[in-house]
Amino acid sequence: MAEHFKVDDHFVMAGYSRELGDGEFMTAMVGNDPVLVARLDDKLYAVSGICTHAFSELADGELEGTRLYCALHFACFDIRTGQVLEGPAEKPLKTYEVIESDGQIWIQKA
Amino acid sequence: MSPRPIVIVGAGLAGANAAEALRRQGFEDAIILIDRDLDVPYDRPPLSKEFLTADHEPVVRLWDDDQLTRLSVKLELGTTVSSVDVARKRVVTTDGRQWHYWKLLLATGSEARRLDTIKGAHLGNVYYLRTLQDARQLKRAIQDVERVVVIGAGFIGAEVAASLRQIGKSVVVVEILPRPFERLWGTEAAEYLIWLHQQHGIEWRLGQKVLEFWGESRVTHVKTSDTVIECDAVIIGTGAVPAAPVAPGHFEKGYVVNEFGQTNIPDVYAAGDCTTWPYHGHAIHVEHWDHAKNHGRMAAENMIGSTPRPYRNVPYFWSDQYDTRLQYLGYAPEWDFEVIRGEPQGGAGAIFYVKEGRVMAGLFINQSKGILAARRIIDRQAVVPPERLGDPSIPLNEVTCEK
Repeated sequence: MAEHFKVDDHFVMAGYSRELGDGEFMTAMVGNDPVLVARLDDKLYAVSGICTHAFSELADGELEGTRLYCALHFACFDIRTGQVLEGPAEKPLKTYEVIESDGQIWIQKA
Repeated sequence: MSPRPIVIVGAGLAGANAAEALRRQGFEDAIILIDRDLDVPYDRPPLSKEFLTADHEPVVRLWDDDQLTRLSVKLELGTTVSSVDVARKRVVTTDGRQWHYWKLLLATGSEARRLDTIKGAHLGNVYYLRTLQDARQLKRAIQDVERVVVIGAGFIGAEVAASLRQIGKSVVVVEILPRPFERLWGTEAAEYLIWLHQQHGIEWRLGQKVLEFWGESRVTHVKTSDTVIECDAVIIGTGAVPAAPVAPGHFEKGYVVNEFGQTNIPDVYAAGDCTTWPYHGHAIHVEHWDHAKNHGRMAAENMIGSTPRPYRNVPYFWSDQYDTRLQYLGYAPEWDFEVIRGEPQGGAGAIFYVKEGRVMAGLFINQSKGILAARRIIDRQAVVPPERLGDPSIPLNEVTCEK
């Protein structure tokens, strides 16, 4: 997948491929920002790990299929696009490029 | 003249969310949102927290100008409803105007419970906190004071006390109960919270009743049943009461509504703090942000929907005090025993409240992980073996299924 990407200084390693099963997510730090990486049907998606509504770490929430729920006010986002599916959040989550190479998962820095 | 105007009385979270939901569902007729408050709809939770601690005034508006335009809601602010003529389907305001409604939503919220009968309650520097104007006034006033007495250790009182400590004020909290939070959360949680506030420098005066406020023009002392406390300002946080009814209909700690948000008057709905609503066979009343938001939305959708949908929501609220986040789910006026998970008193864990084997409610202290699973358990009032519920090595979404 995404072979035109080359892992270089613009990427940070999120973890090992074997740590992330289908339908699961992991958290990684990109600079000072937590980022959530999820694997769904063999595709990887990465979004900001902080809810856009009030300060809350989305890693405390749950992923149900493509729906990512926040554990503070139960806002819901589409993890593939960052779009808001249910309030109270109004702004989408920032998305990140993510690639998998040699058994490792890498996120592109903003 | 709009053929199907919807009038919403109360522009708090429930009313504002109802208006938003109506537009989202494609409702195109007039929406008239009436409130006696002068500010455009705003969010209240920050008022006791960052609103007081920040250097600037944080933005609390729910809608910016663009949203306001897009929603096309007729905002009638600074307008007080005097009565509702349900026979002619009209809302009458104190300025003599009348508003015809096709459907009416009462979302009048709560008011601060006042201590007006206590001697000296009228003195300067005695504050309440309910509205944005209250918060602005309080924010200004606390710049110049050192010693503050907070009356009441409910959530507003506790949050205000924490905020004031964070900006370096000396704070004494007077609470009539010997152990605040105990009735709601039990002894362990209550002791933890009392300790938490003490750690941050709060001085408690527990089990004491406020008798008088002393002072010439501004308050200088609070006399309690046990002592006299010197102070520069007083903040009263003794809870909330539903706003007085403006419409006829069954009213008992709020408008009594059914699972669809309907009152016993045709075409009149009610939502949020100003209601008593059915939850697992009980008629309950809560004053939660989450409920106001969801109840308002549900009532709006049912007003215009062809198939009404029943309201199903687990009561939920959170409270941030210092760096501690408390989240409470469910409804448990009484319980048989508590199940401790993790170390809530050590600053991270949960307490579950079990009645007749069923998990009725849960309190999460700095422990958001798993709260969505807990919400499903509490929604079903599931029977869970206590030893599994209390075992942090078993994820909450697996505690119900025996392996």
